[in-house]
Amino acid sequence: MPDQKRVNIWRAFLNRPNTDSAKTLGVAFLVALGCSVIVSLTAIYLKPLLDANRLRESAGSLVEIVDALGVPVPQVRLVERTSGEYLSRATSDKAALDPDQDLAGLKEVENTLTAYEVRDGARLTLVILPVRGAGYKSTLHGYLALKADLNTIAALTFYQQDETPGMGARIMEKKWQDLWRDKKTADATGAIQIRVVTGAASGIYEVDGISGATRTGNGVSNLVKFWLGTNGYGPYLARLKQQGDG
Amino acid sequence: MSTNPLVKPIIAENPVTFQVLGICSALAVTTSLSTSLVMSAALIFVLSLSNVTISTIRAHIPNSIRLIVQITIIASLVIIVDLVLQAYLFEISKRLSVFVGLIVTNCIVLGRAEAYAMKNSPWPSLLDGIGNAFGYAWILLLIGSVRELLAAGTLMGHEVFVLVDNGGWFTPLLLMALPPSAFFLLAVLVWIVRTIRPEQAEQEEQV
Amino acid sequence: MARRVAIDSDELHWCLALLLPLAMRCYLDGSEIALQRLTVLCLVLASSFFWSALINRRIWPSSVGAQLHFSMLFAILLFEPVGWAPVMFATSFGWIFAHEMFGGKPVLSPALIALATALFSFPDTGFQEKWILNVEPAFFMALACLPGGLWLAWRKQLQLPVLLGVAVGVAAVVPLFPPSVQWWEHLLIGALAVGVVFIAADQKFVPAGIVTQVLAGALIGGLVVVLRLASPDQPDGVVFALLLGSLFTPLLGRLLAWRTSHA
Repeated sequence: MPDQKRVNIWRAFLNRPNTDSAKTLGVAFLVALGCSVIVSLTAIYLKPLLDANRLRESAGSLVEIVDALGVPVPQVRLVERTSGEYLSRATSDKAALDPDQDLAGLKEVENTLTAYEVRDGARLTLVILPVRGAGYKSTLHGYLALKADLNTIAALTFYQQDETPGMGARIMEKKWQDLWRDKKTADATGAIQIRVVTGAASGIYEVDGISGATRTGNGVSNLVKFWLGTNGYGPYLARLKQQGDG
Repeated sequence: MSTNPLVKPIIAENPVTFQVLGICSALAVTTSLSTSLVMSAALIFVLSLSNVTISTIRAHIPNSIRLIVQITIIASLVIIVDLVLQAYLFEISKRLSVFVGLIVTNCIVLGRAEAYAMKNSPWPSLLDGIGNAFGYAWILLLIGSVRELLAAGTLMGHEVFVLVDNGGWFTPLLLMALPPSAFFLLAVLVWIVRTIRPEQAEQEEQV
Repeated sequence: MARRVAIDSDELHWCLALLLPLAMRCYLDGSEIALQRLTVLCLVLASSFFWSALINRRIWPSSVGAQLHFSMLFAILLFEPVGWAPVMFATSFGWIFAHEMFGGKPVLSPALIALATALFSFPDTGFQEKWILNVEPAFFMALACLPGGLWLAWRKQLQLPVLLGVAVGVAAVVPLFPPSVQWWEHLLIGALAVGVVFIAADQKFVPAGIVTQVLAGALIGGLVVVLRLASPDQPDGVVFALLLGSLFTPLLGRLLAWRTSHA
């Protein structure tokens, strides 16, 4: 009877003293095996849901901004950072930034940038730029959308940050993000003027700060300034303007 | 005083206020009631199942690899909880970030495994696990409610105190959104429990 | 069968000493703000009496005086009066946390805890310390602390080495920064004089030993200058510096006592 024999081996194993090294190895092996089987089964069973969540996470913010503005699906463009020209293929190299140019606290930045253009026929109506930069204690990730004149903000959203809850983290609130709508980015000379001020804002270049989050506000000001400037999307935006696309 | 393993850890031998265990996560996840609730549920799941599992095989755990076996079981349960949260409660799991994963190092879980499950049969171990987890949970929920209420005027995201910004009377206390406030609230809670039950206070320190 | 209410005579001296600074503050405010400030004082008084009664389970607390001391100090150091809800939250927390939880033998000044709570909870309201912007009133306030300070020193309520320490700390740290105001001006502007005389030098919160006291004062003085000149969020820095200083003084006292006993 093979069954009977197997049970006997199992019994004999369990009956061995706990100090026995064969039993120690056996218990360790069985516990590890049991745990890994259960964990693997859970992971396999939940994988479709997890993947869907992660995908939604990265795409969500862009979808949100496009939905909120009620515009058609944008076209993805690869842009060479220094020249502002379109590229057909992305390169993965990065350029180091001088500390005095590194407003967003990034240390280095990719040479190929991604931008999303929304067109109505041939006419450009919206440009969406992925932006990121140092806040008070985390890196802020978001999208900045510019209207056709490339000088008016259509929307600014953030989708990832780890600032202080109730203070800096309030940059995620729609109420605050809505303050950016229709603000102007640069003055007549082309200098970037838009910034977050402490307290109440006045004029078209200022956005109200959040109570107790001066440094997060400064971080947002700086990252917007950086990405619109010559080290960010500046050359690309200048080229679009020159083409009369705007 | 009750000796029931389910009732004893609720106040008399509460893991947080009496034994002062597991306070790191109590401080970190109590910024809102919803995160406290999810964290409590996760701990109840992990603690009760780890106690039962370890108690069931306790006679066959060699002393030399005792802790490794316990941690393996606890860690597996924690991974399962983490995966389930990421699959079904993605938004909340993002806010809980590493703290669900850190249940592995929560002293309450390993402490109950060592102190109780290794010495008792599965049924009392289950009760002990559930009791301790609830002892942890009610404190988390209390601190979470107070912090969310005072920091944002809301409970589970519903407005309770009308903010000055929205034309009401309530100015939110930003201090309550910061981690130290959980320490202060915990201190006040321990003080209240020990005022009512003076036998829990430590002996005067001999200097 | 009225229970006897003991009046804490030490606390009474504190209240007497705080009268002149309070009067000066109200005079500098002008009648409208002064009235609001006195309302705040009454609110704080009511809340501290309420918590004392609730926690000690008797209508009249065993000793009266600490509540008035607390309320007056809070009202004086408040930059400008704000709504009643923030005041009640901050002072309730300060009173319970610093006074009641230690069984009436506080290790930190309740008024300081209440002010710090307010400062960190409501950063954009009148709690923010903008004293530094009004140089001349602050100078009069510093002057108004003098008689009260002398009176308290005579009643042995103040540890004078702390005052010396603050001056030393300020004088030592100012040269490390680009030149702005003179070191002795730092002592006169902002809420530093009021804070140091009536909170930092309070003998209840300072460990014994002249060296410890000078060091504790120097820590506070140095921190005030650092916060004023280096931190944009803390224009005056007095409350934060006092908080950090008070947290470290017991440790400082222990350390020095340990060193002397092991020398």
